[in-house]
Amino acid sequence: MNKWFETDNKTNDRGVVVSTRIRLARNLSDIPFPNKMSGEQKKDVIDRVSKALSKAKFAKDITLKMIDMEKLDNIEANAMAERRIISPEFASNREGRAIFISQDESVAVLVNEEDHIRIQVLASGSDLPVCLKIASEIDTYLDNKLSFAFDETLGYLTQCPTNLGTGLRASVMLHLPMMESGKMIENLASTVSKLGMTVRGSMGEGSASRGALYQISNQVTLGISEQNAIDNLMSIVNQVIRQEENLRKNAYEHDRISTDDKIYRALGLLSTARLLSSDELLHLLSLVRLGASLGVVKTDVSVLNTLLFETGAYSVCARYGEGVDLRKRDELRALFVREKLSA
Amino acid sequence: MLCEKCKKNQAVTHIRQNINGNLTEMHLCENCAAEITGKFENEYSKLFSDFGFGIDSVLGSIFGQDFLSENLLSEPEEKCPMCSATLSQIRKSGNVGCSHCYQTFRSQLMPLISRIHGKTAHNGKIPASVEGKISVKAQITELENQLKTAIDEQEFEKAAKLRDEINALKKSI
Repeated sequence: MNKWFETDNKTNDRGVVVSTRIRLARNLSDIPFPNKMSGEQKKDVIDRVSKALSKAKFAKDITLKMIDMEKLDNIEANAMAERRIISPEFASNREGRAIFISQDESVAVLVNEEDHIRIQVLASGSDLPVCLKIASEIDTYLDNKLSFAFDETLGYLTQCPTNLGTGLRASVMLHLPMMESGKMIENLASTVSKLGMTVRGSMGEGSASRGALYQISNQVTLGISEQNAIDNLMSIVNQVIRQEENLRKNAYEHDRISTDDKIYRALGLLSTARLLSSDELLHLLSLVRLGASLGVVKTDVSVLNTLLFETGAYSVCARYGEGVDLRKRDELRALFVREKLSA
Repeated sequence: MLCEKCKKNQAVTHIRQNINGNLTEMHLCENCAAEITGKFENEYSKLFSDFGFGIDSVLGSIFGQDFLSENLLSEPEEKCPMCSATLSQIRKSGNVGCSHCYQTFRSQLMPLISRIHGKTAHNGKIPASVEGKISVKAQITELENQLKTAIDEQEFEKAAKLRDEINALKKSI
């Protein structure tokens, strides 16, 4: 079965929006938060969630299968982080943690991360309302069985006070090559922060961006409804999309041949290179993604996404076996890219 | 920014002294801050070295501001009856110990929560189990208002009836 990022949801803004994510933070009221939990309590929470979800079937026939994180090795776990299902922190510290996940990996319930339960829904393209609906359905179902910690004033209670209220984090991953080269990201970040949202580079550590990919997400969770939070986020995102699209259009009209040249060269390198580092891949892929959105090249969104989410160091190792050194990885990465582009 | 005293280490804090109306401000590293503040040495170094998430993070500085004055003057610390977390543990880690901590340390946490979110009242999804209780509570408030009016207007028979209704509702939640 295809992974969530291999599905093209055919949203109009998919030339700029790579993916969207919804996450709800929930906790059980009778057990301390993860920073204060014993190993036994962690097992207890996993058992309770497992029992609650064992016969559950959600809309679109979604069922969730348990993965015991302790049974995964480092490479498999970090490859999951590269596919955006879990954080690198969750992948590295696997003790007392579990994940319940749908077949296409779009829906997941993470147990004992920063909160007892985090319900996560991912989608390719911009699909926040649908993601929220699925997450909310799972939330209601689990609350019925587990009864989440809730306070009339503070809303859903969370380990970190930054998540109080709805416990909702909504984020949209955007491809902004033109705004980046126009040095407009810093300005965007400061504007967005005044509106209770944040912009971060979405590949790599910290705020450094690779491949011109940025993530915009809401920060405020208390005093604002779920619907308003995603409406606000989408209104900002839509403005950013328009700005990026205008810049692309202008650049293209201004100097079509040099834009085409860069895009075709990038595609040429990706389709023929024998060694590809992750950095070089992300750089070239960004140009090809731009080319696809301008209609210059015909590369599918699903291929672009696969090359984005399944070519990290751990994904390459997971696919070809352990003990692969850096050079061999670059070789295997180049091979994978050639295969995907020629398919 | 480098520490203004030793000019070697990175300044991590900003100290303001007011001596006889003379205001002086300094950006200091952890060591110099501890030295200058003398009797607060322990508290200061603890405040900075124990911060799990880095003093320069937004949350860190918010926690710092809120807890600094209280902590320096405090007596043996109150513990959360459910998870035994103390306020300084919460401050150190940036993490609250359990859902009950929000009751135990409510008054101390509220200023912080309000600074993070700008608001202090939830306005989103309510679990079905709680929703019922909330509507009953709203009903009780409404009946209590009616009761007050009834007493003011000396309609004691009506007041007695309202009182019974209120008691029954209170029992139900």
